[in-house]
Amino acid sequence: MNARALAGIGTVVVAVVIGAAFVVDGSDGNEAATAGIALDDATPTTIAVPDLPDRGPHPELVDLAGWLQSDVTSLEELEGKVVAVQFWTFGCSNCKATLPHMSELYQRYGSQGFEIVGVHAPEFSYEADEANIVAAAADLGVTWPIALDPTKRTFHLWQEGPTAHWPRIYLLDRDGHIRYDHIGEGRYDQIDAAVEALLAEPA
Amino acid sequence: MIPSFAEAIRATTQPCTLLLLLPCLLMAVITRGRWAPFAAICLGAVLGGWLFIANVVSLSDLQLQLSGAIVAIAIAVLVAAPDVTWLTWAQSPPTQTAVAGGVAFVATLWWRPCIGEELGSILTASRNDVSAQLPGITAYMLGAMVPVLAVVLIMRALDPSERVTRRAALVAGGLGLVVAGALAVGRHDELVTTFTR
Repeated sequence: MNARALAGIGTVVVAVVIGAAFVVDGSDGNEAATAGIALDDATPTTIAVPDLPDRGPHPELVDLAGWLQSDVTSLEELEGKVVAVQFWTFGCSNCKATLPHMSELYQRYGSQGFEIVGVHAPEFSYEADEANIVAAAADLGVTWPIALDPTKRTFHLWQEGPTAHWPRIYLLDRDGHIRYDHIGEGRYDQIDAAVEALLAEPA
Repeated sequence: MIPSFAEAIRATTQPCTLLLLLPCLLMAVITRGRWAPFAAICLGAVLGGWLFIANVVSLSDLQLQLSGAIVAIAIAVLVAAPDVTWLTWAQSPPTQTAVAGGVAFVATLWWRPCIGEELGSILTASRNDVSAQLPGITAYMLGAMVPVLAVVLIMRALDPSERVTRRAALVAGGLGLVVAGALAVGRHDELVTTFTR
């Protein structure tokens, strides 16, 4: 068999591998949806609570350009509640993929002392435009408070090292201490279990 | 490792992978689908991935511009080499291999990835133990290079004439100059926004 034929076979194999990767994608997408369904289920599956070590008080929210959809203007005003602080930007596909789960969390636990603060830290200039953020929040079903961090000072202050990531979620206990964090999509079951565990802790 | 590999392949269809993937694809075309440059591209991407999860380097705006300028010059030299007498040294396979690997490595420094579940888990866990996450990020970076492998294989399967190969290299070089040039002049934001919106 000559080199051209081998390369042709290799091309077909690579095409199959790429196709297979997208088939796996279907199951990933369902996982996010499943997490949402499980929250509405009367008998959700029992999930192991992740380690929730006390990492100390949360850093400040600094240099914010303002808040949207919020009666509060600082995290201190939310002490006594379990708070999810999520760093996101509306142009980030993986951030958007987490929003249905965040919305389910908000609906389920919002009346039980749970709050979400979405810290919007734009990656590109069009994501810094407040009108675009308002439109995106409405479009994406983001109903919780949004802190505007156009300079990304808060984004970098909270995340260790020179590189910070979207999306990243931190869970704060009722005392405002960081107890859990996760970078990227997924781990919805862990986040649910962590929120439940933190809500169950005495005030 | 397979989920990481698969997630990286899926991420290659998203604009956030553009700054990693496009320079690597273009280098594969400029180096005419040869195996040694492809291997160097993979090596550069994997090393860059290791550096990425180690979270020790982040380019400042000035460094981003300088790296863009250096890559633009490197691409221009490689593409012009066959036509410029005093650049014939740039046609040597070792030089092309080294430049391809170097460009791939620099591209990982430009990269702001889409963080899906697998990469997110690698990044979260790497905050406590980077070494344990090296296999995972290696699989991820190799997955991101699958489209580059596809280009290499297609070029080898088609085995185009010298004239076609030269034209493809010129087109790839032109695109590479646009990408690296945009970074060099600080217009990367507009470039990505154009692809994203």
